[in-house]
Amino acid sequence: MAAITAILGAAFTVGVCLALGSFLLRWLKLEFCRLEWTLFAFVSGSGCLSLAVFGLCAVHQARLPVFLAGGAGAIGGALWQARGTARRQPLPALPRSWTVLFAIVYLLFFACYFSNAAAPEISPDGSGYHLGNVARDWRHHGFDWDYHSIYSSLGQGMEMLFLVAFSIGRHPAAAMVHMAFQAALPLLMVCYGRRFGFPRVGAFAGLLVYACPVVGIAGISAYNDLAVATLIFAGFYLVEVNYAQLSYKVMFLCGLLCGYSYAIKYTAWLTLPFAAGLTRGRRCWALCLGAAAMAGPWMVRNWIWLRNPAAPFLNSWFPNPYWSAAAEHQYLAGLREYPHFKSYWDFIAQVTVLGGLVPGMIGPAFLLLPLSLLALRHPRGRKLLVAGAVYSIPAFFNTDVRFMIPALPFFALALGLAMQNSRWILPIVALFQAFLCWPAVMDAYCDPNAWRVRGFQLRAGSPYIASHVGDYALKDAIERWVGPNQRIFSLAGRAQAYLDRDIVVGYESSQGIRIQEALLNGSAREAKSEGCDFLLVNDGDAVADNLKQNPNIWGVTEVAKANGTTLYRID
Amino acid sequence: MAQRSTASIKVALAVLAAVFAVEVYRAAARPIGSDEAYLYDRFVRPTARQVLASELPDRDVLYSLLEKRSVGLFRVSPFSVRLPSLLFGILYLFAVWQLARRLSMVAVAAGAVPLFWDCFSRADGTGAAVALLLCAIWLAVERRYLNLIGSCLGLSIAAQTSFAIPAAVVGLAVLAFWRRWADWIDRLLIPAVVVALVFLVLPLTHAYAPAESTPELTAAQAAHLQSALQALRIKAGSDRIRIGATPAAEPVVNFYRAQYRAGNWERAGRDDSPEHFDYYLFPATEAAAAAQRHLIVIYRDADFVVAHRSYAAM
Repeated sequence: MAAITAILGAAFTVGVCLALGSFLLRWLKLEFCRLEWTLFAFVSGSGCLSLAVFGLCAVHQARLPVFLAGGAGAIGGALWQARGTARRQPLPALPRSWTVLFAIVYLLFFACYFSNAAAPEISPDGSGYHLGNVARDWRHHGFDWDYHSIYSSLGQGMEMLFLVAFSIGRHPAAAMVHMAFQAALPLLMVCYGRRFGFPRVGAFAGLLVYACPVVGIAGISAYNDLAVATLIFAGFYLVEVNYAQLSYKVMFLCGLLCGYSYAIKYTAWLTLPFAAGLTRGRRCWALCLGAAAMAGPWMVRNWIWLRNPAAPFLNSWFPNPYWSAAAEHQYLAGLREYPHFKSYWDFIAQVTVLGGLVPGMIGPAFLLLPLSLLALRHPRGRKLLVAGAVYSIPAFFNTDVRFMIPALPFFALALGLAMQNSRWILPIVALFQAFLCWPAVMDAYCDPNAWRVRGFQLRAGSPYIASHVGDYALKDAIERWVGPNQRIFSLAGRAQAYLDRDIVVGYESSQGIRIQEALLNGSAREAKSEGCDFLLVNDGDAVADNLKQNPNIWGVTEVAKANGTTLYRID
Repeated sequence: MAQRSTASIKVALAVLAAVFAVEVYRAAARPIGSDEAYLYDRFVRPTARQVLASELPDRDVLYSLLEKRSVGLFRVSPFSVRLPSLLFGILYLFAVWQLARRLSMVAVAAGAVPLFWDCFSRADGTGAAVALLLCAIWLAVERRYLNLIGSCLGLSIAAQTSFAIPAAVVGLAVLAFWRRWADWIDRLLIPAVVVALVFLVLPLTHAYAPAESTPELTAAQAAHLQSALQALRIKAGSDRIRIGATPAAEPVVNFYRAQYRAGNWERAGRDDSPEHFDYYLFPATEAAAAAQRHLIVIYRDADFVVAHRSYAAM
């Protein structure tokens, strides 16, 4: 039943995105071919829906009846508008053999990803802050202005879509909305290839990216990396298609996509200058207008709420009481810190094949990436390589392999262009990647702890969550002991998506850092005075032993304990 | 093309056939060497999952795969593990013959030289790599099947990773002679890189892992080791036994264990503490140590001593 409501929730959200996108494309009078229209309607409509939900959250009207009424109205209106419309022209066809190959591999991976996305959300960040934010917004029917955390101040463009799906199908529904972007990306790449006269390359690159292990696991989780990658690629595609005649409407839509990708993930800020550079500054005003429409509300929200439009970053430019420049510096330094590798080769092997020391891997076929430089011979290959290089920049500042995802479609297409004249090579490499990235095959060679999809996931329910999310064991105790308006302090991040109370985490805000320092100095009173009535302490935390041995001195009482974590009440 | 007499062709063919026949005989008759046994024991006998988990660097990836197929079809024996090499020997001779027809009959004599290096009667990837490299050269001289040249170079590297530099040299030589840059990239470079990657990508993840040292046995030592193991087999009968051996002998013991399907033998170990084993294979130079450790010698020759642990002494 949970899976069915999840599918319904995701389908409703995607349907509303398509409907809103369809309105937008008709209003802008932009012409696309058949599949292109659907994909561009989805990506542009997702931005519109996100913006609408942002508005509802700002006025605390994010409620199920509002979503259902608004969504049903949008879908109904789009269907009404579409009646009698002439069928659009198809793109040039993909060769038959490639159609079969692409369909088989795509559907196999789709089935695997679908079964995983429909299972309860267990990813670290998904069950932590992405859906933690969504659950908090849902509890308050909008933004919780009293809760301060670096993760709640980040752009929540994707969380706004999650919120609609969550209201119907809870956690898995949100993950399935993200999976819709994951499914759209290879189709967009195929369209790109068909549009520009290299359909085999498009299909090859689509398969290479879709089978990629980190794309698989990030896509089936309630993250936002695949959404950003799809929007970035769509924006690039849009400019390329209309390069000869860049009307202000095209540039406005491109700006919307750029702004929305920034609203989802700050690292996507590069899209705006890159798009402006790609179009050589033509109709830049329309581009900026579109971007401002999408990104502006988030910046304004943060400026008013946190006195920092780029919160939680740029705190030295916009000092505020919620997060300091020193803490920001320390946080960013932590993100950049790679584990110790034996050699450069070890690093490459980890990122492409093994995935143990870095979270995730991009698949063995990407070891051929140096060959993509041969695409410099092709005019479109040069643009793809430049785009890939630009969107690789964030990966230098974060060790998570998923930060490479936005660059992968460009590099995969460039690689395909480089190898397109070599007979049999494209299907061999595509099948090679698909075979080695199939979950059961990956078991044989990658690191046992590598972050990846682990086969079809047909089980669901509380036992499944409890076996993967340690904090879930304390859910009942927390909801019994901690009042709805009370807060908990924790030194480490928690699965906030499943814990129905606000948790102040040590490193996530200035308030958290104050409480953390007080605790490390032996006082729990500071937490109480900061409004936290409970403590969640891991056995490995610095104060854990002391708290356990001297609860009276600390003035705390142990309330519950599970999986190495103890819940204390501050007396 | 130079004129050649029918007689010289017949002589050349006869020489090649004779040399190859000798190779076949050697492949069948020679006892297994320690490096051949090592390749079998570490990379052919275990499952693919076990090989990847062991994190040992495999330099003969293509050969290991072919050897696995061969022992799967013909059971484990010195001949079956060398069979892929012999088949590559035929390919090699074919390439030599084709080159000779095009260039000069002297090439036949030159081409026959590697046959004397034991390349094609040894269970490792060198013979395969040489044959594939020569095949690439022949195809380059013929100026056709460009894709196949790239594939041969890639397979040559997959057969023996140390052939990466010779393969690169041949590839560059082809470019130097043809001067067709685009064709060279599309039909030679890319197929070569892709073919090599397909075979090597997973083993390459262990490229920097430390290899186990396995000193090579001489032909006489290999023959003596075979005799020693026969004696041990007779002595042990159907008892369940643990055998300890020197690093050079250990893979050979395990190879024979697989060949004779000695299920009562546990896998031989390299531990040099005889107390962990029922039987121990010493180099003959350490025979005195056997007596000091109260071991009963059951076989002795110029190279090896097989000793049995004396339970009474414990």
